[in-house]
Amino acid sequence: MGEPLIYASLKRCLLSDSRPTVFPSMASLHRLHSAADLLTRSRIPVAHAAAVLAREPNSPITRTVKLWGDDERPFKNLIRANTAAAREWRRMMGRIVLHLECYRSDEPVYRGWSFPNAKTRAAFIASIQRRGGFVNGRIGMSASRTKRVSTGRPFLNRFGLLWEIRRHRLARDVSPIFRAIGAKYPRQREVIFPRGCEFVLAESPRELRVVRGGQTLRVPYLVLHEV
Amino acid sequence: MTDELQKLAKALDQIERRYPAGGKRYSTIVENPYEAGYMPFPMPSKRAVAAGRRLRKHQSQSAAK
Repeated sequence: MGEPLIYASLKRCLLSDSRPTVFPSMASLHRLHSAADLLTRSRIPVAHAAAVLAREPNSPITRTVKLWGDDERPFKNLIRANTAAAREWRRMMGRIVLHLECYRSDEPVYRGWSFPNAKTRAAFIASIQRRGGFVNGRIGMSASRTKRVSTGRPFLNRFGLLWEIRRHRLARDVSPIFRAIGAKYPRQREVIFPRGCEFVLAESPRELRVVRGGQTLRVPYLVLHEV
Repeated sequence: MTDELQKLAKALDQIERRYPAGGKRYSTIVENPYEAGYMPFPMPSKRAVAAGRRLRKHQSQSAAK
């Protein structure tokens, strides 16, 4: 634990005129001893969390995170199911995400959307334009650090659209964790925006041409800023 | 803390029983309620709307220059 070391150091400093010889860095304050500490500590460096979670693959915390990283049927049901177990998973996943350190970068992140038809997509865009932005109401919203991933087949269909999110503040880069715990899709360079993140439309929608498998898709391209 | 972990472990066991792993990924493209169009998203706050308005105004002014 970092605290006793700090107290001892401060006490030594107060009782004598000397400067503290050992003063732990802020990083050590967030040192995790077990995966369960992710529920109580905050601003945890992602690399550190990844190492601890990898060390405890059977911990409920690791299993919770892995359900998101595997992004399969369980996750897709959990994100919206109304069962007690799903609600518990969402509550804990939300806490874990919030306790990670924010991803700081000037590079934008991207999110691809898939819609069943052009009408639903148009209604979605109109709603964003009318409101001037979007609030993430779900436990987390995934995005990727690369445009190539976001325009891939799983994330963008021919009725889809692409977001470029600039000036993000609250995203958490979870890709080191997914790599460390052996999640199924570790190379998507995924970031998660926690619930309540607000994005505003920064520019009028443009059109993006995506060439994929010999086909050219023309999809709306929206630039948003996180506020 | 231990109680919370136990509760979570129990929930995860239930989830694994109910939704066994190995489901096909993207079995249906539209899974997201926003994408499916049946879940309206929450309204942005007044602060966010004002920030967006300022931002777009600034962008259009700098584009005009």
